[in-house]
Amino acid sequence: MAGWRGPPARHADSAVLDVLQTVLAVGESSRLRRRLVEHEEIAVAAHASWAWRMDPGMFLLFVELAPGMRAAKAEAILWDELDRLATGVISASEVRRAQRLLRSMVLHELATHSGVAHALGQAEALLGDWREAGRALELYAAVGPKDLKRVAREWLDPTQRSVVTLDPIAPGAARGRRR
Amino acid sequence: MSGRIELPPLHRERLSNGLEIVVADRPGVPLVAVRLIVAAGSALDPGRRHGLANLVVQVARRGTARRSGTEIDERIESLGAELGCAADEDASGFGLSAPSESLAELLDVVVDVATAPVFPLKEFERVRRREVASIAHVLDEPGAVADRAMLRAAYSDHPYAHPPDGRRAHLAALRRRELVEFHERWYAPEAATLVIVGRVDVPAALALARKKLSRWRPPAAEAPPQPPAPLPVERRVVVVDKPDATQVQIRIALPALPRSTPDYFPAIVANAVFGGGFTSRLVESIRVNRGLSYGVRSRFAMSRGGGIFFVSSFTKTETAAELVEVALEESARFADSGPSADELSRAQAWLAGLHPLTLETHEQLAEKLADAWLYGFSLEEVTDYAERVHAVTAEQCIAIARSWFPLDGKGVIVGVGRARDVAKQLRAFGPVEVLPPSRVV
Repeated sequence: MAGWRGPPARHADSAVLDVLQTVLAVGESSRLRRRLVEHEEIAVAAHASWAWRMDPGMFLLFVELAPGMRAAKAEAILWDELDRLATGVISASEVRRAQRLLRSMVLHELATHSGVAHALGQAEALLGDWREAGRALELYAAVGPKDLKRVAREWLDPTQRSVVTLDPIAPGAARGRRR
Repeated sequence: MSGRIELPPLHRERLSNGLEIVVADRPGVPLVAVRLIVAAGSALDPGRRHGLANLVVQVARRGTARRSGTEIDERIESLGAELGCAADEDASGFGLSAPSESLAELLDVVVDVATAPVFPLKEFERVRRREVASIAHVLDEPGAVADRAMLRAAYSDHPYAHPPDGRRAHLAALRRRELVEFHERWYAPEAATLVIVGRVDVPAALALARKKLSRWRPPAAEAPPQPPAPLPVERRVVVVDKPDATQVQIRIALPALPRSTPDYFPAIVANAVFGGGFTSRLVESIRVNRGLSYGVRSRFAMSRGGGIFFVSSFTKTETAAELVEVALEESARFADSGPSADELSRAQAWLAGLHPLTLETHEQLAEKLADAWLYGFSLEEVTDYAERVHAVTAEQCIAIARSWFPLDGKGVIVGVGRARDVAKQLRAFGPVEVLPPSRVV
């Protein structure tokens, strides 16, 4: 698990990080799933978690390794992918895929009463105005490849990351490592 | 009291190849749910090939005559959807939910993977490695080990005795050819249904479904058989050894009812009082009064050909016997005197109140319609749910308990933990069989 301190919800980069996490780890054709799970087969699962908070939030990446795989190798691939995001090419179709998935996610949230209540409550509590709930799609639609690269550079800085590795070594015991 | 549920008008059509189509235009968010299921699940896995049906559905999405697996993922996700593929004991299915404007493109992919997969060798091998790895993770979860051991013990030789994801050794022995054969033999239009629910234009959706699916092959010679009812099991104890466990996972299980049972409502109401909610008899006696566990529940798990009733909990090794004893005593007490008027009405209000939440989204309704087709229950069970729940009497609950609760030496007891200590705890309940965890994965 790798984590970075992110911006508070009110920050304009919060919506960009939503798109970024979708490019990275939502769906079978996301970058981390494709590389770690499909191509390298080093992991059985990879996902990201970026939740908006009133105060600075946490951007987290989780990788669950396949049996017998070394964490160091998975980490190396992870850092390589983040570097590629910050410095390489992000195609327009990749961004469009993420925007469509996010649009679909917003519509799915609005499909239940509790989802509507959640969206309004979140917007009121975190952004100070429930009307902001209606702006999510607009914010996502405005994100382009350049924004993603900038946000990857600024918020997912390798010198600012915390990494936790859980290595089962013996029955009932585990060793944690923090850098 | 919640009232009757109005379903949107259902437009049904049966194609000449036997495939059933159901389309419902439903107001609300501009999304559409598509679900295509085939009545062929893990109960059809041949002996020593457990996990075949699941592998078929997982690899089907990894390539067709027209698209590679990567292209399928990209196509679906670029439309804002994620394709779900799964097999359970009775059926294999493909489902997704996405903005309505993409219905034609989405349906094209879903029909393509369900009817024309080519099972590329490389993808087969990769998905198999992934499935084997994910089964290995089960060993880290004592609760999942207990669930698997419970199926094996409660169903003995029945086709429902193994979980859909199968066993590692069986998967390792599978050849690609067997996936192709399973698909050819069982994925047939007359064993399938397509459900479309959401903000859709009904005539257009029907025309689209007709066009995509009427060319699917003619009916097969052989329809997938429905498994028989499971046989009763004598009381015995199965212990799975987890030397590193600090607690014991406990299951008490016995064969019970299929989903199509006329006793469906008495069964779910009796269970709600006994072990369904958070104020059930089991929670009261095991958690609140004795502090034996953080959680305990019971459930009727109902499939097409049969089902089981089970109690599920966990506790310290030293209190395993006490927990089982209390659960059995509560079963006997319930079978003897049934629920009080107050318990009954609380459970009825709880079930009736929750029901509308199970039909809120297009996906949920699509799933319910597909289930009605698969299990053969009437849609009145959906629309008149509250009324039927409230019509259940205490006497009916007693009758359910007398037939299906673990009484009179019926039901197997499964314990997952440090085998020697757990066996010592549970041996008073019946003959003990100790298994290594490798026997269930």
